[in-house]
Amino acid sequence: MEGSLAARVRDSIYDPDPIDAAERTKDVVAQALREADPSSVVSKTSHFNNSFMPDLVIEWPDQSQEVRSVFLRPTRDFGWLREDVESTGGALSTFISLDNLLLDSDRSSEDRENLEVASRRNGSFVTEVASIEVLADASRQPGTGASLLAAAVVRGGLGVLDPAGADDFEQQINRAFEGARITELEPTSAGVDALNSHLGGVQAAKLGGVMQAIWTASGGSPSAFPSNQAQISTTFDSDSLAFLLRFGDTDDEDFWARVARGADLESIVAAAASDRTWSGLQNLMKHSVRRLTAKVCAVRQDKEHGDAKLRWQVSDGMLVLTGLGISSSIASTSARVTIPNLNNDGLDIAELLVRARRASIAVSEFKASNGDVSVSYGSNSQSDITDDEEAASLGQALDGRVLVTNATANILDSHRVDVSFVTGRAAGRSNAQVSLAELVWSSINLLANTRPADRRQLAEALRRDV
Amino acid sequence: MKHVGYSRPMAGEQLHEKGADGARRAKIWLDRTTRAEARWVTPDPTAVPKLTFPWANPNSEPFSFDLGGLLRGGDVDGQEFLAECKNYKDAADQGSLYRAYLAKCYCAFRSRPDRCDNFMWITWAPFSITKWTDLCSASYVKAAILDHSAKALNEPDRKVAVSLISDEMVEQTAKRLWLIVLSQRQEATLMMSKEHLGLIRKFEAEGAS
Repeated sequence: MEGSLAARVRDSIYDPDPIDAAERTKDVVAQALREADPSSVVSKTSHFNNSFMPDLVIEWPDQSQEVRSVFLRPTRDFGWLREDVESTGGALSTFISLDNLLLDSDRSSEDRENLEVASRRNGSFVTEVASIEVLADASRQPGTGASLLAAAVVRGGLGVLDPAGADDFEQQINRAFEGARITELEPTSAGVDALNSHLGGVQAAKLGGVMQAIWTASGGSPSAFPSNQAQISTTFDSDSLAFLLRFGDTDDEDFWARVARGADLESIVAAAASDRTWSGLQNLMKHSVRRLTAKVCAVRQDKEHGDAKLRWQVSDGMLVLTGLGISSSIASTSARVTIPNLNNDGLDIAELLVRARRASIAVSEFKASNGDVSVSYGSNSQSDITDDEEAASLGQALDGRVLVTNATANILDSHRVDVSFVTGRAAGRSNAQVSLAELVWSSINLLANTRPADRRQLAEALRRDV
Repeated sequence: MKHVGYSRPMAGEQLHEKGADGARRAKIWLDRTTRAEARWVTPDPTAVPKLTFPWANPNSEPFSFDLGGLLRGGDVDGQEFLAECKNYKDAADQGSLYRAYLAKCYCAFRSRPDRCDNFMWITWAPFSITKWTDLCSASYVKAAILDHSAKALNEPDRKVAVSLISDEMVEQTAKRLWLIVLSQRQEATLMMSKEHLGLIRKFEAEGAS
């Protein structure tokens, strides 16, 4: 039965004005493709039903995905369509039938088989709007494997896909994802086969990777996953992680613990960037925060969130911890820091020592300045100076006349973190990545004035003993 | 000495297939010139209504052209064309078919001048050789209309029909006529190569908006 999108295409293509028919049809199909893959940019060419020029071009500017040519075909002749596929098609070509050629045909007919052979031989994808509509409808069912199919076929469909085939594909993949959730081999294996049948190599591998991520996160052995890929990966790529973040089982702590084992800071930031609810991210960070490493933490006052509870999110390409009137942005390299530096004056020496002591942060040196003259105090053996009487005396003697601009904190005894009270940033020394949890703890407690209740909340968020 | 020839006429479905094949071949050739784009091809159901025009006689079945599309580039950019294709090995009855076609062109232009920028007769076999240079003339068009006056003018009486013809429209119709003769060798060899077409495709795809 024809869906609403297919009906709109038929209404357009049967417009009696030939120029309007062409433009309206291209508009409807372009919109259908955009809805199927919202990350795509679909452009119209000035052509319609040209034997060698595409009608539409699909690009993905922010991703390493090659441009795809889309050829619209109003023909009801299988032979003509096959000739077009053979002469014009290729690995980056999609042919879309506009007049229900596939819907009305017998799959077992010789014409269909010849078309299937031709399209697979040169890596083309042949479908019609009704098929895309089936998958686009499925994409609106969150938490299902089929929700990923519409974008996947737009990017890399293969062979011939009619509406009934799209329906079968959707159901097979849903069964496969459910099978992966309970590590059941048969439906998972059937799903992998379906992916390889209907998608080109890159897309089949991507969705297979998501399925494998679910399998692994659900306790399945990576080597037992029914994949024909040469390498079994133990880390999740950002697509897989994004799916898990949005649709993972939120009650299963073991699930999130397993997901955490396959994630690093960069993959978490990439995966969570498009998720505006952040609920999966809270679960993942609970199990990741003590495992992750980072390079830089920038601390800012955040009046917008006031005294709100601490919460993880992603902003400007960085992992951010908000709450307690503070926003702490964390990155794996200095180059990934996207927020500008502050330009503060610095901190009293006495205040530095108080902050360090109450948060149990070992500070091995500091430098203070009045803009003209600077003084530094530190331990040659890099031990903690926060309880040194000399340091306290220096603070009293220079009270108000110099301000601390930089200090060095010791993280887990072996790593050094340079804290700038001018720029509001703390960073592992040289190329060192340090414990994310300890970096954030030191950064917030030195760069901001925290209360005991704040420190208790922060310790809980960082899975740290107070 | 007289010569009598005989050939077995093709069955309806064979004629139909041959015709469709001719339309298809003409479309590919036109597209690959890069100066024309044959968007609508009989017998595609989506194409037929756009290629169909009425006779002046309301009791006559409407007629359809085989192809329709746009010219591209230069002074003709955006002009529409309608084409009739004759996938024939020899002249056969093209002479009479061509005259009927001219009457159709006149009627199409009269009913929808906005759709009738160009009329193309595309054949694989020359015909009416002794009259070849006149085939696109206004006088030839006028004579063809009179031959089909019952449909084209809704007036079977030729003497009355003459007064119903618009000479201005005949002139305009004649100006829009093209005669194109193709050959199999031309289609196979004298078309732009796949590699060059690929370059053009890449260039135009980059300009898509």
